[in-house]
Amino acid sequence: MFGLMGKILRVNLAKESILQEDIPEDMARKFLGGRGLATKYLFDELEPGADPLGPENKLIFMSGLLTGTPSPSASRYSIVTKSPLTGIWAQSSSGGRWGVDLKHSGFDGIIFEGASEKPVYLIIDNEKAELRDAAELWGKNVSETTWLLKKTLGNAFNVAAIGLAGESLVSYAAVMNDLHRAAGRCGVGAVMGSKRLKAIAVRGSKEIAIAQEKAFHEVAGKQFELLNESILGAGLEAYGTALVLDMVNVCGGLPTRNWQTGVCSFAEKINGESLSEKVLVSPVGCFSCPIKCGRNSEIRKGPYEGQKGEGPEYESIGTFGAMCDISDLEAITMAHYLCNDYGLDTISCGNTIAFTMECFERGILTKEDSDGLEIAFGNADTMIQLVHKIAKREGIGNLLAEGTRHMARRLGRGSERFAMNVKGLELPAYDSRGAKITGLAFATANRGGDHITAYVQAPTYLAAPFLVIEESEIQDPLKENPQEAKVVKELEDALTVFDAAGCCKFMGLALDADEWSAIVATLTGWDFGVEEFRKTGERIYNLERVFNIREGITRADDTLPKRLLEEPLPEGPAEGQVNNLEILLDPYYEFRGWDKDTGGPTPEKLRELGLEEVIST
Amino acid sequence: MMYQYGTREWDEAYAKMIEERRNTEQAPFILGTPEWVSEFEKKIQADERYKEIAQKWEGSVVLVFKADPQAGFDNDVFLFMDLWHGECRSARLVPPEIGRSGEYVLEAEYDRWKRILKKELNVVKELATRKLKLVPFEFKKAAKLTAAAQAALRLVDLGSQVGTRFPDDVDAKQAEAFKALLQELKTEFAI
Repeated sequence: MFGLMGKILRVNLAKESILQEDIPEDMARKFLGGRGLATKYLFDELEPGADPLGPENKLIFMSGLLTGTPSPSASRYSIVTKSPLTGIWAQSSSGGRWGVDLKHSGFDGIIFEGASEKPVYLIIDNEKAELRDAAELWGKNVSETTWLLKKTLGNAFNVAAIGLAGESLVSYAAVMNDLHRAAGRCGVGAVMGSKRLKAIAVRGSKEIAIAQEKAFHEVAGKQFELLNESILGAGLEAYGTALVLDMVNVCGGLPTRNWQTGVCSFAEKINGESLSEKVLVSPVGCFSCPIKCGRNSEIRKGPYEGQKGEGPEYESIGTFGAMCDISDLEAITMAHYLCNDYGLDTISCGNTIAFTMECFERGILTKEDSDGLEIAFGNADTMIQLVHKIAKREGIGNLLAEGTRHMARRLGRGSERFAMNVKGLELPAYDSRGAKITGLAFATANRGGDHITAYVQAPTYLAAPFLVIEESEIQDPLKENPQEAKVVKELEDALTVFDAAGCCKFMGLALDADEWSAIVATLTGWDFGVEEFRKTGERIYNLERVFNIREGITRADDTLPKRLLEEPLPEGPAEGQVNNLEILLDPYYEFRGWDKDTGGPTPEKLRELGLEEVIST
Repeated sequence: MMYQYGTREWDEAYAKMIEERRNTEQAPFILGTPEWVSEFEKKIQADERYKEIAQKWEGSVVLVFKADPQAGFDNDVFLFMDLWHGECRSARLVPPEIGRSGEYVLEAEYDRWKRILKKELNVVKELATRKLKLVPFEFKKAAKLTAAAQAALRLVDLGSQVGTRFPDDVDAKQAEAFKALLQELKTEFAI
């Protein structure tokens, strides 16, 4: 098989068995790799209604079709499972190098089943796989776990691991790889913890076969040339993803004080330039990425002086910074470092802390609930303490560890209005009242309130159209234009292919679908053009949706928090705006070929996509 | 007589020419004429939204219309905008060597500029696809341009609000007059 290694491991943690399986070629053709292939396995093998933290849930790691090949940013892998945070389909992806090393070890992916009686880790060394006792690792954070494994096994091993948050089954625990890279969203780390699987250490030297070597290298080489003169690439390398902060704030869409406003008065203290001045050591990139948007960083002053790591990313700055009303970049950076070491999703964590701060502001929570801790907007020390408490489920941290949806259900008293999640997944740092089409994308993303399913924030807040679809321009971000629902649909489909291929979605802003299709075609030898590119993405996206329908999702769940639907932004360029989602939802379903009443793909659509086998679901 | 750029005489003669042409030329003005550029300058200077978005911007921006004889441009035309912290200190046509010395020199074919101003093309996409090029490409400057995408869009918005006739859409007599003007600008102002 070209591109893929053609094999996965099936690891039953209860039975302590490890089997090798071939990936059927027709399955690879239809679903590529990464998110696509993993979703197909999960859909076929997981019974509806399974407990996300029960042994029957499956945890699937899958590298992309292109991962490990010399094409731009082909570094990523996906984790697919059922989420403990949302109760529906979960996918989380990460870069760095681990996914590449998994593939070089001889396998495209691993399906974990059951749960171990005691903590274990998996080692894969050039096709030889073994489960080992992790008693000495359990109770340790990501950095220490990684260090111990490398000390025991050798530096050449690369490690994906959970920290204390995953062990504590925090609903938004992450899986970390390469120390600082996060498969952050949806609580995939909690699923790993529920299986008492502490880490996966991989090493290998297997080659990835390329069908048309010369042509592949020519196409990839051309892509690298284009990227070397990309202004987007330059911006990201210079400022990191924090580049985005000023662009969002200037449009009045940076969620501040738990989304009470979209204008952050201290943006210049926490933006990309500030990050460069205060904490940046050097840019760092994933495998095969010419852009290097990562930040090697160090805190140089204050109570956290001397702490080092990677980051912070835009989302961490947005959630721990603007959302919590904290202008102390050093404290924000420390919160980000802690999340990396504990293995916590910074988006859900920061968003949940901001929600908690508003609950305190409104008297819904008091010091009695927090063991005397004053949880107020702007209090950086408290924010740091809360990150610790969440990871260990200590005191009030035990409540916060469940996420905003669960908290709001527990607390009531109107807190549901400002629990900023969709389908249970906390929203990232872009206010959809400032760019209305992004509200549709939040409401319809398959994994819940998510920005990078469609990343329609790019053609709106960033003024950067995607090149990977024909037309992604949004005429007026402050108007709901039913025709523009098509842009969300097309971006969702196109970016799904990136997750299946294992490539970074930023590349979709610099390279077009012809270029991507050519890379896939020359790698695999398949007849793979733009039409196939689009259809494959749509197929995978629809399968995910059917999974969710099977778990009970309906049109009613494609919605937004009341704060976005009913509370106008009080100031800034988007003053007075709310999301009028209904204007966009019906057109979206029409463009999708879905039933407008149920929100589910029609049988005709499923047949068109070659998904006949799921019609009866 | 040729005025030397950078001298008071050049500035005064240029300003006088604009004043005269604003009174004698028929609106809407033709893209690439000093009076069109003057209109554009006024639009930017009056725009509060631009001031807000661009408050951090530092550095001159030069728009280069590549030569297109069929459209009436026998040579490259350089539109120099002195932009500073949300203010447009001036926007003028300048001699090539002055244009090339600007901090951010953005070059494209005339037809691309026309379609950008008509909002048929997205200026950020043009930059991303390298149809509109930063010349020479410098990493740090490219980074700053990315960060200023909203300001760039606002400038295009303002440009599109200036009533405009395009030199390749006017009648033969007006096209001749346009070519003659550019020749005059070259002779007198080295533009």
